[in-house]
Amino acid sequence: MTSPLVVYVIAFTVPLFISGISFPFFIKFMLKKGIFGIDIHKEEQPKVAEMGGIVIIISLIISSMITILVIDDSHVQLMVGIFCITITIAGIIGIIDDFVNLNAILKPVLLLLASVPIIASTWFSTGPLYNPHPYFPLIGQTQLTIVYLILLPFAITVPANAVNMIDVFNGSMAITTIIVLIATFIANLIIFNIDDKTTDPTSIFVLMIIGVLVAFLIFNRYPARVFGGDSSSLAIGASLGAIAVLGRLEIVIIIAIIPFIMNSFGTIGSVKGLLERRKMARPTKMTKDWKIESTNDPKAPITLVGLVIQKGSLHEKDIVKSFGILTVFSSILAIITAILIRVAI
Amino acid sequence: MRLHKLTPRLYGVLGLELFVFGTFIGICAIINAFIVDIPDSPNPTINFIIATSKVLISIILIAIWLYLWYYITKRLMIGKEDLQEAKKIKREKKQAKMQETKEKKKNIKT
Repeated sequence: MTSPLVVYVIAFTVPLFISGISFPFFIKFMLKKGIFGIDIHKEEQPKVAEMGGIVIIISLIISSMITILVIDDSHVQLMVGIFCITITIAGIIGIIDDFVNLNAILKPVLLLLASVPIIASTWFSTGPLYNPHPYFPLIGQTQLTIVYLILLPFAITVPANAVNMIDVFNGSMAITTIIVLIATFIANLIIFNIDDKTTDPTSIFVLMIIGVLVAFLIFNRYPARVFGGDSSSLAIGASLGAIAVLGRLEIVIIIAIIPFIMNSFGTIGSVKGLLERRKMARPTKMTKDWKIESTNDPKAPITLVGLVIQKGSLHEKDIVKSFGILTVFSSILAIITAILIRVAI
Repeated sequence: MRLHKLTPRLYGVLGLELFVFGTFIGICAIINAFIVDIPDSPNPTINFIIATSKVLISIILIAIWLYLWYYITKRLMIGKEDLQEAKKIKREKKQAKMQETKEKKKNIKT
């Protein structure tokens, strides 16, 4: 029997190494094929390889397969498989979006499909892999059987779009999501009192995503050599949703991604509905010293970036740091939520 | 820029995060104190109604919380002046529409 600790090490290191080794080749290949974007936030306007999400998705698929081979427990194997399929569906929708620019309404609707494997898991197992009795702070376990099933598809599409909307600067998506995942890992330990004798699927999911994001961050941090594109942000966002549902950490993750949701609220509220990012007026422009300032365009969406640069222009690196500060704070609140849940159980 | 210089710029957003968290915990405390403890009835019909009411009240509370969150985020992002301007534009549009319908009614009568 493989020790859970060995499984966790594999879950973290395999995606880290696969994507870490693949990215340099991928960047060279994409630049050679002319698939690149211009980083408009830099004076030199460098060419940056696009669609790094492909490497992320492939790394996650391979590492899921290896993890499944290593684990002995068939229930955990099924959970890892379902998790992998969910991310892959969201990632494929992201790849399609990268190629053909999906309609702003069609994209979230298509993302509802990503929740199908979780709902359909009932057919492959003795019971559903999700548990319609989420934990609430101070209350403990609740019985939301029907309501939970109605809300389940949104549990994937909402975080996927929220992460997609925050992926606007070098490293912003990777840094903030890693912080959220670290908080999720700690919250999982607090709530479920995980020991080292049984393999915990939630810990596997979290470590897998952290592993792939650390490798991605090396190439996406300022100055970025690769952009993740919608394929990466939708896949990673869907993974947050899947972790919330499969790991029974719904409330913890909602609290941890408060800055992401605020960003989406601002955008949706200001443009009055869903609108494709490329069709919106630009909310920011560059100053002469290559800092980012607001365009003050009334038609532009009001985002978290707008809030951060309200008191004056900022360098791209500082905006990402600000996102980091906001996410660290919300992650601390998420850990407090976990403690309050633990008290109630 | 150092973190200690960046953080004061974010006090508003950090405050909002704290407010969102605080109100959510408050709602959970209300649900825990007043809704969860409602005893079950031996009559299945009444029991069903009680259970449905419990879920409905909780959902309404959560919906109010979400709307408050959305509204304050919007207020914080848009700012007072822009909000007043948006209201003014909305009022003007409404007045223009009312004027139009009045004229239409007049034309029909004549």
